[in-house]
Amino acid sequence: MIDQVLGDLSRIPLVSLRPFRYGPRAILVDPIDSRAAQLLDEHGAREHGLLIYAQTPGSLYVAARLPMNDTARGVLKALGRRIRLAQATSADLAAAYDRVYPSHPPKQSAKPSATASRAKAAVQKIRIGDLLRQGGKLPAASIDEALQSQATDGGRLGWLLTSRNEVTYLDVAEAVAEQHGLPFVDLLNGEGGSSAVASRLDATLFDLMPESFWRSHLAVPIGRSRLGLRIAMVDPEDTAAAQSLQAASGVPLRLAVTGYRDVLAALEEHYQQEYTYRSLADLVQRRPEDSAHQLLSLLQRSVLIAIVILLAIGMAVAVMPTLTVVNAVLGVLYFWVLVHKMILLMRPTDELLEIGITQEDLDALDPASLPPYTVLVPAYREAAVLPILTKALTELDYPKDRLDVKLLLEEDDLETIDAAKAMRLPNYIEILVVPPSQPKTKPKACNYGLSHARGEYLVIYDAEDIPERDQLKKAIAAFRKAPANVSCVQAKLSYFNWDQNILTRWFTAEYAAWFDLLLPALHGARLPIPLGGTSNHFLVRTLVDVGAWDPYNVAEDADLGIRLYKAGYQTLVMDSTTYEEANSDFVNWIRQRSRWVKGYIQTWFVHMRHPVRLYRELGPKGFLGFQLVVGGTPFPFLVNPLYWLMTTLWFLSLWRSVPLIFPSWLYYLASINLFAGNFSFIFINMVGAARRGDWRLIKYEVAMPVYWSMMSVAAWKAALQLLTRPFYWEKTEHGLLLETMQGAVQPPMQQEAP
Amino acid sequence: MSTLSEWASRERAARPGLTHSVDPNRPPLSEGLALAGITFALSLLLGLHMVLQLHIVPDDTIARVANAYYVLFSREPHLGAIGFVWNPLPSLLELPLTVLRPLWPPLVADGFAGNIVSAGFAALGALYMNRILARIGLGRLWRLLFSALYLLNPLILFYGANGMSDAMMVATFLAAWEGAIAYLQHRRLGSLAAAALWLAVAFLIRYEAVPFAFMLAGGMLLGLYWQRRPAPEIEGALTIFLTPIVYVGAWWVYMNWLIMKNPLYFMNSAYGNASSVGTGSYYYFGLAGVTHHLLAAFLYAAQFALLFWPVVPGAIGALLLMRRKGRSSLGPLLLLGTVAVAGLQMLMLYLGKSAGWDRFFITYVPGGFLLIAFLFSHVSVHRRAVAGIAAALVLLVGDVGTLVALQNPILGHGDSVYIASVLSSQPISSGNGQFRTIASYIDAHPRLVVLLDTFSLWGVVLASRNPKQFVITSDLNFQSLLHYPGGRVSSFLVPQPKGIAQLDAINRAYPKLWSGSVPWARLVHQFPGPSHVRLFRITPNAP
Repeated sequence: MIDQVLGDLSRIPLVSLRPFRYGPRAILVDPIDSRAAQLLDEHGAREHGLLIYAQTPGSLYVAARLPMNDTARGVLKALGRRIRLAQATSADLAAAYDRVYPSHPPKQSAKPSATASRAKAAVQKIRIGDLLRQGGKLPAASIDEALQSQATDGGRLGWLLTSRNEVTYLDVAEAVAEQHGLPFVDLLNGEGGSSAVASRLDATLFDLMPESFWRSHLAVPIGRSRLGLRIAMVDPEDTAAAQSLQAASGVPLRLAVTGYRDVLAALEEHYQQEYTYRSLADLVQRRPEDSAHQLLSLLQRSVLIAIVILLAIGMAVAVMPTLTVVNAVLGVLYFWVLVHKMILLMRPTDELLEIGITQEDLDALDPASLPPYTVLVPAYREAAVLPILTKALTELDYPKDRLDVKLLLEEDDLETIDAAKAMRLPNYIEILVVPPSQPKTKPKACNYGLSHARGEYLVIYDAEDIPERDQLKKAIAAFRKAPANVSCVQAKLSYFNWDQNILTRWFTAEYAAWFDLLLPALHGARLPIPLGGTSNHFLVRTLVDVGAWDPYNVAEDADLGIRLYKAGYQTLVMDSTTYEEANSDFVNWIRQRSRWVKGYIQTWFVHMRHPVRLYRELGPKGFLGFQLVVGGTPFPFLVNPLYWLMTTLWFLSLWRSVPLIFPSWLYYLASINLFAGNFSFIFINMVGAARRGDWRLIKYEVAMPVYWSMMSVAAWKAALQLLTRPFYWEKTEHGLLLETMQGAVQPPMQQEAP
Repeated sequence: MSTLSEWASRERAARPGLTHSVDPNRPPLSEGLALAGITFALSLLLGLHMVLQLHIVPDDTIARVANAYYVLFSREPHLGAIGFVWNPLPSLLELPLTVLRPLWPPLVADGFAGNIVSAGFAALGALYMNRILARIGLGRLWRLLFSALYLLNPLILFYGANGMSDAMMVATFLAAWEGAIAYLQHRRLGSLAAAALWLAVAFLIRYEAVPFAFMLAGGMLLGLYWQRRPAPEIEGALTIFLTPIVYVGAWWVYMNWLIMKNPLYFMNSAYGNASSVGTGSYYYFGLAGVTHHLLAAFLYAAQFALLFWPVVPGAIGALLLMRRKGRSSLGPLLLLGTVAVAGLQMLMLYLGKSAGWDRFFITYVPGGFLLIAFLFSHVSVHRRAVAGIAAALVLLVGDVGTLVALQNPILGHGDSVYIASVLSSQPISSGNGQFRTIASYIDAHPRLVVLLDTFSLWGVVLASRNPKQFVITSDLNFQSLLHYPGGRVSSFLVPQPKGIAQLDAINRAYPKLWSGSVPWARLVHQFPGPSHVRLFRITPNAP
């Protein structure tokens, strides 16, 4: 009879052995009758994967791990009662044994050591390894190596092997299916040979659960029949998923095992529109006030128009007094920016305000405790830098089985897509093609990537970034050290091609002042931190909570920093550096800079829609900090040309009226702005470079005002473009230095390091 | 094999940022503040005694207060009135105090605003002296003892109290020194930046800051080189160190050009030190031998070490120490800083452009203290007590030596008159009495519009109840009124053209006016006294 039952495995129902809450008082009920369980001795039960979980006078209800070998069948027959067989997962069985056989201490009370549980996991997984080896998928040596690394770093063997490109996800799925005695399905190349997965699936079944459920449990519904709901899963031991599904559907589940890529493809096909929609509209829908979707609110528009009208009237009635007032307002604001910034920047010259992660901190990290980490790499028309990217990512010191890299490519960028496909990327780098929609911006791509993220943490790198090897681990260590409300850890940015030309030297010097003085200063003063474009490490949960990036803002990074602060989250600055490629071409630099300035102006207008509310949300200190950092960054560059023009006119005595709009107090103030301002910023930039150890940049900073005049060009371009094409993304060309970096083995800068 | 991210890590590690949250060698702030407070009180009390009881009001002090006073109280208030001969910071700091004149006239009339500012700087100097002593490695007991001996040094105490700029200069030098030492010892970047800024401040007080800055930079260069710091760091650190003073210097030149239409006005104007020396009024036989004779100039400058003799054994000891014990990176910094200003003086003497006064060599005092402390810090621990007492005795005797030297000017002009007055508590007579007489005469004739050159007759303006009655040198139309006074100015006030009074603008424009040879100026009143000032009425036939 047993044999008869076992003849058709698919007819055997699935049973959960986990205790559940029942009744109005939610009493915890153990589904296992432990007296019945004693009918089998512990050794026999464990060895054969059997458990009697209930009995009636005539029958025994037995949960079994399937498939069942002959000895186990013999054991069942020897019981001499009518057997009602159900299948249970190994995990459920293991937990149940611990409960019903008291000789074995319950797992929950005694905390197993990490090594013990790891060893146990290894024992369990050897079977998958064996299966793979038997199947001729890979040599024993590879498995041993993987097991060794598993013993030190933790992780699961299947992920470990696939991350090394030693087996495919399908190979693993096949082995898992075999291990659990479950059917295996190949969704991508399965029945019909069509690669369109979802079209063959019943779309309505997806509605049973939200998208997040399918994604987090890596499961897809593949069919429904009178026998129950068919679910393809990557991990059939995920009983929580099975239980929830059963509860939701009310019918028995019939599990099958499938590959990771298959699940992703199915989800992608089914939810693509939702992903696109979410990546564009999530923030706009949830917090329309926080999105740059509409640049100016009605009120802002009215105020601006009123100011223009007032100015026009003023100019018509009394030119000089009007100009004097405008001049005074600008002069006073300029003075405030100068003084406030200097006060902030003085502190980090002597103090380590960023969070420092020591080697001891890193050593203290248990590798097995490292969570999945998502790396988003938005790239557009950057086929040329892909080899660098792959190399840098491969070299990251992080368990690859928990690395979830999403290479975010735009659908129309065939060149990069083809190049990426041709590269045979490691399995942990996933090419995610962002479907076309407007606006086509980096933040939208990032949002798209975020909705696919598997990690608990997430970081963004640009395609040409070279992070320090241990940056992800440092970020984890920083998060673990930090207070609970920390949602982002910003690493520092610098440039590997700093010595290419005078532009890259200035640019690198500017970055040193920004990332090594200003951001640590803001961090130290607990002010809102505008994030840098890359190398910002997020706790995914909080990122989703604030609505992620604003796809309509071209300085989405800075904007996100402000929104995190508003939502009560803190951003830390961490002492780890990512090296990028500095723009070495003037025109290209102007384009990039104008995008940044435009974004800052956008961000300022977005958050200033309700100044009073903003003041309440940020507090007085945060509000001033916001004005200083977001408004005060583009402001001097917009105003500088006006003053330079006036100074020149005055010198050449072309416009005799210049002194008329400078009452003496304002004249002195403007003089301070001019003389002390230039000096202070040159000097502080020098100190910033020194703080980084970029000593060689210092002498070039004497001529920094030339660089600032270029900033003004970019700032005005930005201001004008804001009126004409507010969401246009000025693309930065990368890979200009490709020839030198191609040999990546020996970067030229290395020889220059002292 | 090298990889990209390893390269990134190496790149980072090879150029470590300079970030030190802890500063092991800084004494507690309370200690420094207490010392500063005591110094300030002491200097201020001595200042009060000198000004109010002994009438010691040095020209340099009151001239700077006067410059500050003109900014707000002249006929045309403007910042440019602060003048471009002297460095502007002392006047700028005295500016807010001049506002309080109505509450207490001596603040301006006796230049007491200057005494307050110099006492403040004396306090700053004591604070930084104490910090340096701590950095050199002196424990609390020794550094407090040495600091006390320093602030009691007669030269330091006297210039801290008298409102002149010498103590201010010394204080900023000490502050810059302290930062440079902190950088050499711990590579404290903030200290390097602070030192650089202090040098710029020093420039705004005295031009001697320039040689001091460059000598200190030389000391840093050697020190960093001996520490085997990489060349880019040495280059970068020195760039940071010198940028502020160079920038401020360039700014000063620019301001001279913008406002006085002469970029080197501060150096070559009729009022500059060089012109004063050129009048021969500071000349005496001793200077004759050193002009254009390098060895003589050197010996002349070296003799001033008698102002604080421990500087000589200190310097020799430091040299020997560096020879014997290898390259102590602080040695060059202390030595070069000590001789910087004296070196400049030597050069000026050689060129015949210095008056060779005692106070020009005041840096021997702090330098001597630092060098002795430096030697002391190299004594092994079990000999510290004996060595400390010996060092303290040397410094104490040095202080006594200063007192002796001040009373018997080593060479040429000293301030021995003032010192004698302080020691004997005998008030001295100054030109102030004459100024008051002139001021009260003009106050009694409120309809007069009097043109005078504040270079020589500042005291009249300060003593007057109505400063707006005067057309002064910094007024924008001064030159115009000087040359075309007819109908615009009622009177000229002019001192007898002898000594530096020859540089008086009226005397330069009309050398014969004082003697009565200008037809359109009629003598109205004479004020006999040291300057023998005359008041002339401008007749209608004046140009």
